[in-house]
Amino acid sequence: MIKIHKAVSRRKRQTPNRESRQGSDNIQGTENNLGTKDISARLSKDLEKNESVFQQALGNSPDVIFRYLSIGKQKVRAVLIFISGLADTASIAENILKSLTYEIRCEDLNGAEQLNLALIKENILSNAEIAEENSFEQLLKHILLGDTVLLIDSLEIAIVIFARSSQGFRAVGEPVSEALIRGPREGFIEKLQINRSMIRRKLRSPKLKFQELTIGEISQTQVCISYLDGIADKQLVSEVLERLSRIKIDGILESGYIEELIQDAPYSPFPTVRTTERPDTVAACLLEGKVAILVDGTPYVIVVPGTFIEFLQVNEDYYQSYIFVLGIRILRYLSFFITLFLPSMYVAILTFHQEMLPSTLALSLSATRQGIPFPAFVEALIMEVAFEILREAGLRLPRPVGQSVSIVGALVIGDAAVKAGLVSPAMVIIVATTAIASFTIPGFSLGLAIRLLRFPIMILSASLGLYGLIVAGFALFVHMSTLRSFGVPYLAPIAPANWPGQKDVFLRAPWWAMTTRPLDTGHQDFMREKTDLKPQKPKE
Amino acid sequence: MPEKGRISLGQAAIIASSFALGTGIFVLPAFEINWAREDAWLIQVLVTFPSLILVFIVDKLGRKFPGQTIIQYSETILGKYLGKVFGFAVTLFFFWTGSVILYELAAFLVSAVIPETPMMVFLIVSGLLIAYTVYNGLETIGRLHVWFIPITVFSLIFIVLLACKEMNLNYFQPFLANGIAPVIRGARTSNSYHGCMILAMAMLTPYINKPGKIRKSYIYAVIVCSLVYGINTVGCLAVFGPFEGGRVSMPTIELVKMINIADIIQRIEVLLILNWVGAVFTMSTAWFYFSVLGTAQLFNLKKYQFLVFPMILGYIGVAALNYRSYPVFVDYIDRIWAPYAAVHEFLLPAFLLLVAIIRRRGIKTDTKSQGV
Repeated sequence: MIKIHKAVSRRKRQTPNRESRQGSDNIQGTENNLGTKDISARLSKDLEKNESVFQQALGNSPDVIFRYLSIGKQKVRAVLIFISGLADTASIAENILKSLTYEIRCEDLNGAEQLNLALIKENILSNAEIAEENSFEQLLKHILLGDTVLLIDSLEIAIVIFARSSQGFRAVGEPVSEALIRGPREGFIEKLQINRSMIRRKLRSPKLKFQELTIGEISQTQVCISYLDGIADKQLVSEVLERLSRIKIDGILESGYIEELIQDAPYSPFPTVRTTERPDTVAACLLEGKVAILVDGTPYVIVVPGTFIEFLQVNEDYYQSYIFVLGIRILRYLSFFITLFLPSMYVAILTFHQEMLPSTLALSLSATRQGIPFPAFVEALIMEVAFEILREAGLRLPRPVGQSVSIVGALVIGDAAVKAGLVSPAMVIIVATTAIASFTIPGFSLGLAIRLLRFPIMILSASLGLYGLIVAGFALFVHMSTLRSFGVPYLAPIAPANWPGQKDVFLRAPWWAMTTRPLDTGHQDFMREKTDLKPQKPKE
Repeated sequence: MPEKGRISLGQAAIIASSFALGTGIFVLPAFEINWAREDAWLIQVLVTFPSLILVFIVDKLGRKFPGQTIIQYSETILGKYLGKVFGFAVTLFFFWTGSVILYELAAFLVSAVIPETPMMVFLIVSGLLIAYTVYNGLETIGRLHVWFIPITVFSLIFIVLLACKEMNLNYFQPFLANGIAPVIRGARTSNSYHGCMILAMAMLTPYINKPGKIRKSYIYAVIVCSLVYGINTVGCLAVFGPFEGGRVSMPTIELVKMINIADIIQRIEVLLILNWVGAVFTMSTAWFYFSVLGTAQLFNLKKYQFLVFPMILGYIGVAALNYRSYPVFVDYIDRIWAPYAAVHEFLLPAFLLLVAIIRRRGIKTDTKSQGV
């Protein structure tokens, strides 16, 4: 087997800048997932035999096309195997079939001796990318990926033609989950090759490396890691590769599968890997020495290591003026605390610490609570759950119905409940504030964690007052400071605090002062820019 | 070594200062004003010096026995059996004092925040939280302290500034009317609070990742602590005067209650109390951590995590059963705990250093080359 692998990896590449690099890099370790025994063998000289192996392996699936043809005057038999839909049929007809049949129909080939591979590759086929292959397993893999395989009678090597269909994918558009005002409007799509090229367009450097793996016994999903050589820590890269290669699963349908299989704290509600739909975010992360994991079939790219503050940062922070970003970031941290603690604080103060409120406020609050049948905690719980239901409904409903949900929500939950005396208006204000604050958290997965954690904190503060609140806060802080994401402390650079990291936590230093990469991931190549970039008055 | 984590020098200094800062904020002004009256502000000037001497002693010991805590090098210095007895005494001191702090936290919550809830609830909830933190190791404790101790210090200074309106500087006169003796008596408790800090240093030194200017940063820590206490005492004395200030059990909280600026900043005591709950909690966490770590080192265990849960039960139990009421507790701190602590903090390290020099144990160190 080892000899075969070597032979395969030594096979000539026709074009150096091929779009995909699957094949020799990842066949080591992948098991024969196709069931039959003779697939692991190599091709034989007998076309019928070869063909029957493929017939047997692929079955008589209607989407697998066996196109028989005969080449030249001697009518050398050959067969093209591809999957309709995955392969580009127009290109096959134009570049393969036409040249193999019509254009050399009268050529005298003198049998198979003259019809060698070099002739076909160099003189007949007019495709851009071609490879040779002689193991059934690899050929099957190519067919399933959408490539076309050409088997020719009496030849022991098949030709793989890379003519994949570009149909069936949506165009590159603006990412839905990460909207912004200023910045590029492109987002990743479901096709790995396109996503990869989007990153390459941002970072046109030979330092940008991609490494591809195939994960999923049945789905055979292409997964690709990306990093900047010399900037990303080598240990981090090998750790990512090791964790990915440990995955043995039947199918990877979304990057969420991988996320759960590689993250450090499987029981923590806090996300320790970051996902994004934006190529510019990924490029920025790569420049900081992180590693991106692209998964075929999903626009969400995983970036590791993911730290807590990253979930409260947006790429737009780096495009807008740094002066306003300071304010916006503080606002975002504030709304993080509001989302997490405001309902609990309200409950705790109303239940235990009325003396904290100024007298007038206490009076007006108690006036609005006149005749409310529930204690503050129950009231808060009802409203929060109702809001979560509304939000979930709004997310899942088809768009035309969505409007009616918001009307019903606003009228019933907001207005009618207050008028009926079930909920106090103050509580509606609190819940609405919390809801709006929760939408300002950029990292959706962190937002989910906070939404969930709100409820236990509410229970604690309903039973122990503000002390319960602070206990919950402490427990969360302790929990978060124990987490690590690929070796980087989750709360870095807040705790453990490091000075260079503070440039990008609460404030975003202007670009002329952001001289270094983050200490935790970018220490290999620490300087980001020259130190004297501050704009200066022109010399007289 | 039972502890794998490493902390930075700054974290170590902050953990050490939290050893003194947490509860001292509430109780110390009352002790000081009670004994020294008008001259209470002098106490913090006085207590800085013994602590500074202690810094030098413990620093010397740390250099003689690098990579060892006080529990471990007392065994190296005194031999196996006597050393174990010494180590046990120090560990017991950590354990006992930590539970005193836990009681203080709970008593404080019951008296100031939620009066109707039984104290046991607070003891158990806080105890579990402490156990959870300690279970996660020194690095977590370091990260926790770095955020909560500075907040405490700044909020305290802020309060004293806000209370400026109520201050009467005539309360500081006459100067030394009763001689120096009452001042020294009043300094005893404060001195024991300060000494804790250096004992923490003796436990932490082996776990600092880049041992640089350890002595310098601890000297800073001592001075900052003295300053914070001094500001606190001066504030309380200036607002309440030499007689009322000694009678109130927690003058700092009364101080906060008096703050009312333009009817906007008022009734902020609950927020500050919560902040201080954080400080006392971090403090108790550090004490409990050292008692667990000390036990593990006493018995040469490879891990200390499994000790956390059984020991926290004892910790809660000691805190719950020992004191009948808060006044009894205050009396206990002033009359019994302060000398008890002073023995462990001052005599013990001094004795160890003396024996180490006589028996020629440890590495010979050249103080000049280390750079202060």
